Amino acid sequence: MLFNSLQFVFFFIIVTILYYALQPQWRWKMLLAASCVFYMAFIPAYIFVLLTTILIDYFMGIMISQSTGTKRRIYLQVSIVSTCLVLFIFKYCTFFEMTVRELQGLLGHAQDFPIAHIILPIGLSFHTFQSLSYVIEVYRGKQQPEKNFGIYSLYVMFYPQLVAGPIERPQHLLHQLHEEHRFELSNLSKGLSLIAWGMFQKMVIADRSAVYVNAVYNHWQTETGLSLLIATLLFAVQIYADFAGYSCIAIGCARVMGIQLMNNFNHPYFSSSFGEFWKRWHISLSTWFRDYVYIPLGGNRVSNFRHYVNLFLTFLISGLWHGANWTFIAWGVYCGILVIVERCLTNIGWYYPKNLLGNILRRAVVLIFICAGWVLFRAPGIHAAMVIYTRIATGLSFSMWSVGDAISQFAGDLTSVAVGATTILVITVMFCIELGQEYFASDRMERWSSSLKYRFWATVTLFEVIMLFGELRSSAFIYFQF
Amino acid sequence: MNKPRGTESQTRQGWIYALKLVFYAFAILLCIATLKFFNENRLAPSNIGLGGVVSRPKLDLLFIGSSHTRKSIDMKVVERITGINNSFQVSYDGADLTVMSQIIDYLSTEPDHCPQYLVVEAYSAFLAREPILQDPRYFSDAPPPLKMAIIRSYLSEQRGLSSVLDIFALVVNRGNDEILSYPIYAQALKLGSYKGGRANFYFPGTSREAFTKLKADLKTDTANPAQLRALGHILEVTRDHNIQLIFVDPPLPEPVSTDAGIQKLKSDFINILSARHVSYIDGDRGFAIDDPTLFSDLHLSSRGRDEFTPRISEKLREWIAFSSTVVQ
Repeated sequence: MLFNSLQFVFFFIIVTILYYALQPQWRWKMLLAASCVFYMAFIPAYIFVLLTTILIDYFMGIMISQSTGTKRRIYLQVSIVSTCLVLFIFKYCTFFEMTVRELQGLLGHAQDFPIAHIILPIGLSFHTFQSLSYVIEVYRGKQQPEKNFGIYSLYVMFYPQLVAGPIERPQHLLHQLHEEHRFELSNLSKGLSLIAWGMFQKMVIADRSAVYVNAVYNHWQTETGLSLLIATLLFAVQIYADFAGYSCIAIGCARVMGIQLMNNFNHPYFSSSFGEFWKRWHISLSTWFRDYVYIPLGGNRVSNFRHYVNLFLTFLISGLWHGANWTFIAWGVYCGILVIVERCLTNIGWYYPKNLLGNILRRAVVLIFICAGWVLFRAPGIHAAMVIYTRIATGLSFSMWSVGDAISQFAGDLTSVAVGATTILVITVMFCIELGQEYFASDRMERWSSSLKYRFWATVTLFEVIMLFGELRSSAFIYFQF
Repeated sequence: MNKPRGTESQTRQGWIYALKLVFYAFAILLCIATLKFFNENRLAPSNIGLGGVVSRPKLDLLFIGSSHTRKSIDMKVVERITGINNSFQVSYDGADLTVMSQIIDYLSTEPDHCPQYLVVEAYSAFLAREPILQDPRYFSDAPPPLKMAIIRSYLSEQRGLSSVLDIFALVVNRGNDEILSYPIYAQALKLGSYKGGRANFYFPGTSREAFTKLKADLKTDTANPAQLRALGHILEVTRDHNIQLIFVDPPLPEPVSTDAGIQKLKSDFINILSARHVSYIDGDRGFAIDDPTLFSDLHLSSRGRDEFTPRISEKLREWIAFSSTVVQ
């Protein structure tokens, strides 16, 4: 069940009405049942995979809290290994087998063994990480184990963030599931305006950009440098609007029920450094890696060299988390190198000029390198990515034919000019709004934008824009595949 | 458990808020959609599509077809060879017989727009296709009476909630990009078209490898009843309004043209037309359909168009001169 489908609209309305109509002690049960229905709308049988993770981590959480010393650590290890094993089997097994086969081929010992093509359960990486964060926090003594199996299951399965996050921490979400949330008009208006903004990002910005990106990247072998450059820039917009849109809808759906989820994006493309970018992009995952990988490795409280190694490893694992493919690993490595180089330059005292030009320049540099990295993320393989880089770098042409060919990719017919111009316009509108929020935020604006009247008309306006300019055919969110 | 009074009041306000939101959202959308339905055809480009036909006085020669017609016929060459300057081409992507029948029906009821000679595309693959509206430009360009006819026709063929949602999307969601970017869009169309046909465009040929892989996208080789009805309607309307009618089957690349399904549909088409003594030109005949450079995918390449247009124009000139003769 996709957020941008009519099916979900009805689902959301029914669940929200039921939530407030029921007595508080029944609400979590209803939410759990609704979350099961939501998850089973994709591949019903995979609910058992989810149940396995929930069962393991629920019991391990209790056992960790009841034990001390080595036993406590063993329970944690059992939990981490078994949860990661589920992730490995479903997400990385096929990739691992294929890599072994390729290696054997390279070494001249090719063996023809069958490869299991397993369909990845939707959102597996997200709920696995959410479940792991619970066990680790219980181990660290920062979270009491959840005794109620149903509430714990809801913590892992809460439908708004079940398939693509935000990856919540138990300290933030679990207690909210126990609390009684009274209906508040401000929550409704805030939630609905967030849902409308998320839908706008997904259906108007991301899905429109996707048409161009798919048309070009699916035929990268024959595309010109200019088309590939435009497609790469549009993919940067697409992946941001797609994922930030999903997060907004998730946060909005929860907010309507009085539950607050963590913010997942904070205008990342306005970042002035690579380090800052990762504090603004997919915040729930970045902080997960910071808390459970980077800091346990030693963080920055070690020698410079070790610090760089820690950064590199964190980004490498982050790349692998995104997908079982060499392109994602390369993307992780690329992002790690960018952050390390930036740290090195800072350490040797290299700075941008501290004036307006310097500020613009540093943001432009971050944007260009981040966009370049998206080629690795979107390309079907390493070889394809290299060809795309080469063609953009050496084959850019602005001849009449090249420009015409590039524009024609927007719709493939006579309306390409109109579709292209409108796509650029809506993208500009989105970034202008974000620019306003980023640089011109004031208390007065904050008060105005949180008024009921503003939210009401903002929601109505966004609804009209979605209906008039959105892609009304539902298409899956990119991050569902992770 | 008793709910506090404040909560009840908040809940009531919440319901009012939600209902007001839904009411305003849909009321505004309804206003926009109504305004658009009755007026968007005024923004239809005047040098392409239906907007081009209705903005011109009674035409002597009119071509109607799909993208095959647009990419196969160079209107400048047609004018030069036939000597008819008052000509135009209406083509929409995927326009099948049901679409063409609606257009002809509409034009025939408007004495100012009823053409003297009508060239209708006879792409055999479309004879087997279920009627679909592939190019939303057609709906956007259509005047309100034709829009109603399109909706009626669609709903008579398709049933259920999905068809209603399709119509909603067509009326509300399609064609807005063209309206929003009208100044740029209209200018681009002006540069890229001549009397409804393509101009200043270059379509390269196909590689030999890709050419051999081309195939007909046919689900069945049986003519669709709705398309047959539309064909019959075209024949009746043109006869009733004394419009001289000819069908032209555009050339298809050899791997597609020799497909058994295409051959059968083509033969069905020819049989129907010859039984009604209607003129027909087979574009494949005498055309190098085995030359990949003449085709850009299933359509003609620019070189293919340069080869085909003079050939077809000569035949049309003969047909116009002896319009009672069946051209074979």
